[in-house]
Amino acid sequence: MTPDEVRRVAALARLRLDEASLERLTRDLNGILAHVEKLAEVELDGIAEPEAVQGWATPFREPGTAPDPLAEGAPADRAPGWREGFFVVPRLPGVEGP
Amino acid sequence: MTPSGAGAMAGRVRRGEVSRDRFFRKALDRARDPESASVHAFLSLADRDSVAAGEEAEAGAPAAAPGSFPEDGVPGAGEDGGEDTCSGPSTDLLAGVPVAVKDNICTLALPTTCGSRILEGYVSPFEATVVRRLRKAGGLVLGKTNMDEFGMGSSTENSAWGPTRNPHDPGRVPGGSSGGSAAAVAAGVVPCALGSDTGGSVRQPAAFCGVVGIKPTWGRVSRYGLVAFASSLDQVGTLGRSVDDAARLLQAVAGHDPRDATSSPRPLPDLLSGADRGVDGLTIGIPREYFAGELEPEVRGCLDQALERLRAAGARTVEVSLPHTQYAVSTYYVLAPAEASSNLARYDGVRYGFRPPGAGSTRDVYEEARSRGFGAEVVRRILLGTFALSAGYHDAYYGRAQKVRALIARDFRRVWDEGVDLLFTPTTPSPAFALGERTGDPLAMYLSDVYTVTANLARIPALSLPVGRVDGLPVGGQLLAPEWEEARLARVGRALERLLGEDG
Repeated sequence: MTPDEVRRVAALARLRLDEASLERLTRDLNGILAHVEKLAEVELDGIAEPEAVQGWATPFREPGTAPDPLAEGAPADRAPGWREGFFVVPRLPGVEGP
Repeated sequence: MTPSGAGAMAGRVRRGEVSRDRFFRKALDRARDPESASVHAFLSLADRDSVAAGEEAEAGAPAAAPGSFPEDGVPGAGEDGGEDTCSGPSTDLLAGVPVAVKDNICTLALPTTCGSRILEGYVSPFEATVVRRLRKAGGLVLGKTNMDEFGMGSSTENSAWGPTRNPHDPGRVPGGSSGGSAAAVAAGVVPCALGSDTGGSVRQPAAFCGVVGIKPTWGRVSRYGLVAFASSLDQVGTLGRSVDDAARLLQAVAGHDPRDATSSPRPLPDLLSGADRGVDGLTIGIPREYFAGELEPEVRGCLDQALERLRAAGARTVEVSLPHTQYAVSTYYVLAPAEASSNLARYDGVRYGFRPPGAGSTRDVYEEARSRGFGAEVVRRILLGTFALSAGYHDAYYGRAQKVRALIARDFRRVWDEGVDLLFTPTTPSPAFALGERTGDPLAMYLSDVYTVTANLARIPALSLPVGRVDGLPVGGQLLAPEWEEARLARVGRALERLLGEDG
């Protein structure tokens, strides 16, 4: 990765890096990626669907059975701000409202 | 407090020999005495005057609202009797036992910071299933333990709140990321603790601190309320002074949870009986890839002695091969950071945690909160993960790593099919290293996970127990079993513990 690529990835991840961090991280990441390159030499035996090989099917929930932490957590008692079914948080910059 | 096991404590409380809060109060005193405090195992402690923070939470928690899940009862209760169901009432399993809880597991009364500044002061509005179950079993949450930030690290040096020290040598790390939990047990504060294990984070600190650590099969324990790091690898694990302590806590918290769709509906076996069955007739595999290269000779010596004991007691040992072991660390360090980059996207400074003052735009809020709230290791892994998932690189990195993961899992299945009952390996290549020794080299830190990441990648259960000392420092041996065979792990772990204890 070049420093520019690191900067681009950082932007994707909503991280801000100063010049010193950028330099250090570029070095660190390239060191790790060099080690990870080992994976390129693995003979993949034509595995197309890794999950199927492993026998691990993604479990799906029955419709309508999602847990609701708010039903159990008494948010009105525990949150700093709670109004009409919503958590109230400090206003974000540039956001207008009542 | 004379260190005694969770089983003995629970027995005395059940029989009324001591009050329910007796061991809790003693544990609190022990946690606060200068010697233990210097270990810095805890980030927060329960209030002394409540029998437990759990009781306050119990009183404060509302009854389940209509349409939400019915309170689940005792794990395994209500199922048909049979070999697989838990014998005896789980509700008494941990009566009056003080338990430490890793700070990435949500509790009601105590904060949950995950060792990160970005969650400083965060108090969860809901309780993790494992915490609710340990309280239903009579256990009392003593406090939240220190950890590497969001589970990322192998030394607990990546905590925003400073490191935890190894109780055996204060100049050394306790391991990580569940270093605080391991140290709390090793320091004699609690007989057992909850941790989490994504790449070895329960077993490696257990090995470094001379205690027992169990990582169950992925899906054996609910992750509801465990703050996610890498969802396909994370599991809540248990630590204890002895195999019985760790197994007892696991028995109390494991089992299907409708709140976690990835938790298995398989009935929970009894992990506590069969204590007197030996290892006669067992086939134990020794994977050659775990006894090569970086393994220190003295550590190998401890493992060899343990193997001798197993053979003398009637176990058959056979050398086996797990040929994709050499790719395990690389596979893990693509998949885990990739999943972490997704799971940690929620820490945006908007709804909870650190909100940077004076930010000019919403984008600024995100970037400031994350850049100032996350530590260096977390930033490094998020970048790595984001890169591995980004357009143009996804197939080469993430896609490929998924396939290698399947091959690693297949290596284990082939060994089980050959008639091997368990595998025995070192837990780590070396005993605990010095504080500061590996913080300058991320890769060196990652490579210390070489023997533990495979169990998470293959989703199989694993147990680490003390098998000796090198220069006074504890050394751990690791047992690996097929999926869902935690009862076998506990049985053999207990047997080996007994065999090694006969040394005197």
